[in-house]
Amino acid sequence: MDCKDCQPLIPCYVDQELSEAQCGPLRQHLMDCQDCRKSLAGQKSLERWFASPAAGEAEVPTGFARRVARRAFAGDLGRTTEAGPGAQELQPVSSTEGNETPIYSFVLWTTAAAAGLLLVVSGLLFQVRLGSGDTLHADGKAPSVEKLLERADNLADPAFPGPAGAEDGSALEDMSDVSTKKAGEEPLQPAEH
Amino acid sequence: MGTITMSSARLQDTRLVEQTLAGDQAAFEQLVERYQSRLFALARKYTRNVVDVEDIVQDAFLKAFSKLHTFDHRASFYTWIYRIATNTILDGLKRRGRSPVHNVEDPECLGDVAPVQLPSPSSELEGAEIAEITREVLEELPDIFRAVLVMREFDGLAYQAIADTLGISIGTVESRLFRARARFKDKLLTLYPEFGEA
Repeated sequence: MDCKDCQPLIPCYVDQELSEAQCGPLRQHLMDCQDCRKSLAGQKSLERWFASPAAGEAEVPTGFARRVARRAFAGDLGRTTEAGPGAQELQPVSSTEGNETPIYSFVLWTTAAAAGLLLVVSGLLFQVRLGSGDTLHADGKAPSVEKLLERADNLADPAFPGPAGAEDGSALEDMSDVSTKKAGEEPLQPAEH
Repeated sequence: MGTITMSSARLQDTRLVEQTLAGDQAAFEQLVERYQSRLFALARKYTRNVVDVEDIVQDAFLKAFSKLHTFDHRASFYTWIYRIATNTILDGLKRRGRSPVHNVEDPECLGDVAPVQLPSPSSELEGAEIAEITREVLEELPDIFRAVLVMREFDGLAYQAIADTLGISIGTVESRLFRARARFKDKLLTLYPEFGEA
């Protein structure tokens, strides 16, 4: 065993939490290594600070037991009844516990409320953008009325090599329907030549 | 002899618990009387505020009363109520709002702490004086460090018992204890630099 292996075991050794199999090599190393012996002495130096019998003295107010029993049977469950840790349901004390100050809670709740509000507003905006009903609304990306009229002219032109259906004018009718609804005007008539 | 006494005490506890659960207020009063002194002593290890101590111990007993039906008699009643009391004390201290410095500090993320050599208190110091200094230093530590120190150094609990009480692993107990001791020494020397000179 070297110092690197020995150091982490020293606190457990002081607390008598090591098995005999672990203690043997550790003791051997401690005999040979002054630095680790110093470390061991440092760990043991606390003992005296906690050995004072005065630390265990405490006065109990008169009638305490009677008061507590009365309150218990009156249904008073104390101020910490929520998630009360029984022997089987202990609350772990994690490093993050105890960080909840009133300000921390306020910030959390405000953030949650703001997030909720943002969600609602986003939903509303989404609804508005999609639109609803039977009518179509023009927006910046749709072809303009002028563009549609130009296309209609082209389709009506016999020289224009339009798509199938252009000959019988059905495509033109379709097109004029769309442009009319877009512009909110009277249905388009094929251009007269 | 000791075993007989212990068994007798446990039998008595069992009887009192059963009577309490059957609705006997006097039985619960007796149960409180049997353990109130130890719980007051326990709470005083965490805080020097007398009012806090009484409130916390009362809460611990009331909580124990509300959970009494879960006591399965496998462990002693004191072991059971010790856990409840420790968690109630830690909850109580948290609620009473300790110094913001302690609250925002994340003791698990403090990084490695260098072991500090600390001389034992001089023999001139009286026991009461040492106890007062120790309590003062403990109050300066984050709750989770104070808890493991109290459980290990004052109450002599094994790592497994500390782990069970706090709901953490043995590895975490080891690591917290190591850091807690280093922080205790560090704080002691900050408050009382004279102890570093010996």
